[in-house]
Amino acid sequence: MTEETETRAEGVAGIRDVVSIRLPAASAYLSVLRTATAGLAARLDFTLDEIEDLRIAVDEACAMLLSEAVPGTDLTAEFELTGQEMQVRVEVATVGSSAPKRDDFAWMVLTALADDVDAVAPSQGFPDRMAIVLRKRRGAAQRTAGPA
Amino acid sequence: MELKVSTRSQAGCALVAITGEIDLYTAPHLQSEFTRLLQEGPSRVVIDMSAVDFCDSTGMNVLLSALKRMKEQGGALDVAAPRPAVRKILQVTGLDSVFTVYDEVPQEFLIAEGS
Repeated sequence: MTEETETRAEGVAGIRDVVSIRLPAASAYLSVLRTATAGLAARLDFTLDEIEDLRIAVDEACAMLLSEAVPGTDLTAEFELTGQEMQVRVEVATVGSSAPKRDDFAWMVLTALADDVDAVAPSQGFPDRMAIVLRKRRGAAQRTAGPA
Repeated sequence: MELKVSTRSQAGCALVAITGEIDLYTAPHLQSEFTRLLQEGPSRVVIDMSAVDFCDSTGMNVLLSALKRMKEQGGALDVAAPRPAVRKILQVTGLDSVFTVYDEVPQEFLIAEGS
């Protein structure tokens, strides 16, 4: 019984392991998405600390997008799991043209807890969509900050 | 359901015990609880965070605005007993140096709670 942990998230024959969740773009559903995030991160054997980081990061990304989302539409979250990394893309429908704000606490928390964050502003091809993509690698962020 | 706030006041000191998760959904409830409490003009407020499972930046903004209003009134607002997840948010936002953060609820508030 030694084989189960290492092969867990690889999928069958290297097939992409992708989970999509569609929810109403409403803050009442944030807790549902946090729980799903934690469950998926646990599949990849992330540490409890890393799972907590992901839970918070996904929450922050969604909270940022929800303020720009068109009421009554959906928020989609796509989780892509590889052996060492989870990538999460959260996306909403918007009517504004601004990019997610990068000067508030939400952005500060998001970029501190994820390894990598991209904000995808409404663009020429997709004028009514706004997304945030974040990635976190297992065992990557080993306490870069010293004692405060 | 997701967030419970109970306040115990005595002689201008208030202990606010929060239970549950503070996020974009529950933050308005917390905000209105603080608004109501601060109208009573307490001189000192301690927030017991020991039962807060989750708090994001939205929650931190609520605490921060309460702190600002308390300072305007010449009072103090401190945070007590945050769990590791909440402590992490305090650290990455730098707010652990803005708030006075106690590891546990100060003794004098526990005594007030018992009486």
